[in-house]
Amino acid sequence: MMAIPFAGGAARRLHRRRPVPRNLLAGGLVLGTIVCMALAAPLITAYGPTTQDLNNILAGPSAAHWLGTDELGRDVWSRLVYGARTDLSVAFVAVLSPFVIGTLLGATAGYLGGLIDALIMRAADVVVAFPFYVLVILLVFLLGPGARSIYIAITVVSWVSYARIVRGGTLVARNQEYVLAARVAGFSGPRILLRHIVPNVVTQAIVFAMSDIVLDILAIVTLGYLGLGIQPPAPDWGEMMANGQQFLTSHWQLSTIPGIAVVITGLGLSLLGDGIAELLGTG
Amino acid sequence: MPPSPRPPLLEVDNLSIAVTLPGARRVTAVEDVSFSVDAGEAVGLVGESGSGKSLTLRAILGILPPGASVSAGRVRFEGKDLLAGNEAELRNVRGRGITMIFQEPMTALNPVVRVGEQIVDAARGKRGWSRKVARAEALRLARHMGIPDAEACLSLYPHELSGGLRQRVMIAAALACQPRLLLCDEPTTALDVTIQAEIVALLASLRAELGMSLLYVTHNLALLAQLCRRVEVMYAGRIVERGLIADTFAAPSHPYTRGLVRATPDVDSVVDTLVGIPGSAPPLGARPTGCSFHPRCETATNACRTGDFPLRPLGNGRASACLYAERIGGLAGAGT
Repeated sequence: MMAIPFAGGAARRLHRRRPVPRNLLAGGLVLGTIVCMALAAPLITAYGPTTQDLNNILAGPSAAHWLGTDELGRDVWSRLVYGARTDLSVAFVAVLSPFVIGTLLGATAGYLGGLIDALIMRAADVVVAFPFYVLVILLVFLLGPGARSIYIAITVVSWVSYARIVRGGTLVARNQEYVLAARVAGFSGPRILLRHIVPNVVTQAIVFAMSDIVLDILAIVTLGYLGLGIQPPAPDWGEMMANGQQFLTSHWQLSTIPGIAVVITGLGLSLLGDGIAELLGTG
Repeated sequence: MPPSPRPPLLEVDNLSIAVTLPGARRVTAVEDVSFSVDAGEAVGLVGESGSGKSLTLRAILGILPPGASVSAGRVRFEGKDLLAGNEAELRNVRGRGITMIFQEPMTALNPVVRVGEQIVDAARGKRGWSRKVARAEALRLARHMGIPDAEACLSLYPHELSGGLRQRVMIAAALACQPRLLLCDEPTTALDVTIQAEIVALLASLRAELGMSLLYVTHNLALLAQLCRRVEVMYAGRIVERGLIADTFAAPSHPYTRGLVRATPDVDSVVDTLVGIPGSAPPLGARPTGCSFHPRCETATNACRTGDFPLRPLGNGRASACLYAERIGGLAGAGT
């Protein structure tokens, strides 16, 4: 007969040491490789991403140019690696401010309720009434191309998801006894919100941020493709795809290679996001 | 009750609390409750679950759950009306004036903040101390609270502590504000009996030492007798009996109190069966007319089924809402 394990301590310890989810491992590996390559860009590329060699344009893959050259003789491998640098860093920055703003607004709305809640959540409704890309493209178009416009546009559009997630958590948390205990100790509203509620509800927002980055990368690449994103000659995957398109029939690799890079990066981030959600037990 | 020379610390006058039931029906959960707590006094509030004890406590501090609101009455603390004040005024009373410890030590501590920090927060927030002084005070309080290896313990998170330790931490955090009145909402219900006894002894000694007033909600009569001088018995949202604990429990003058006393097992006598009160407390919104206890009462007559049964003074600081209070008191005294 099998021994029955003791319920309390042993079970809890097992619970805490659950194995690392496989998708977390896979996602971490994929994204880790891409991030390492982006960081080590000068070490693993032989040419600058904007260095032109007009005597050697549209070359196929060779020992000198692993992935060939584009229409200005720039090394595709270099542009790809430096493009990862641009796109990833813009995406990571772009996810931060909607995360912070959405979390604060959502927590405030959920905690205070009433008129303020109604105002914030109706504003959120207005934003989601527009399709994501329509609003982002419109805003970047109005603000003028560039990283700053991307940050602003993404913030305006995606704070909504964070606000909704955090508001839900706050509605539950605000009636927890530890929040009541903080209130009866005479603490002020902002203090209770920041110290007692936000740290307890922010986990879900963090998990969502991981999948939101994927969306942001796609948005950045899309904007680059439309010529509204990172401005040339700075390397950007979207801009690479757009430029390569004119040679699609003869040099298909120019558009396809950055496309594959986007897919792999998105996949890595998605796996990572799922893995983190699994690890934190939300989602 | 003889007029006291000073006004009481806390006065609850004709407090009624309405709650919204599913289906948007408003019912009165607490009806016309009046009582007072003097400075340095410990008062017990007993009653079954759902009798409105916790709602009453929460109304005092203005932390009623969503859907519940005060529909009538006044709560005065040191002469100041708490219900008329705005949130900012209420915040001044919370903490240094009145604070509260909760039933569930599992949920009443913030799970993501180290317990030491939670005591330090309370001490700093209300007394404006530097972090260093507050930390020393937290450690002193923790030791005082009988927390073993206090220094190490304070750097842990709530989930790493046992229920008893958590409750001690909660009391330490409440006392860090140095309240003049401490509201206790069944703070030992979730704990083992031995730990309960320790916590109650601790509260009793702290109260004597700090001159703090206590309003203690529980359904455990034996525990109350150790801690409080006076008791208010609540049933179905009303106070049905009040008096000094010793008198009230020795000779209850309301059949509900009598039932409660009988239902408390006595270790010294060998009994085969536990005596309960027949029936169960009426649900909100379906409270009977007349005396709300009459369907469960063995003394009830036709006169109990209709009309109003306010608390009647019986002399010697006692009061009962029962029509036959004198008879019940006499009967119980003779040992029914």
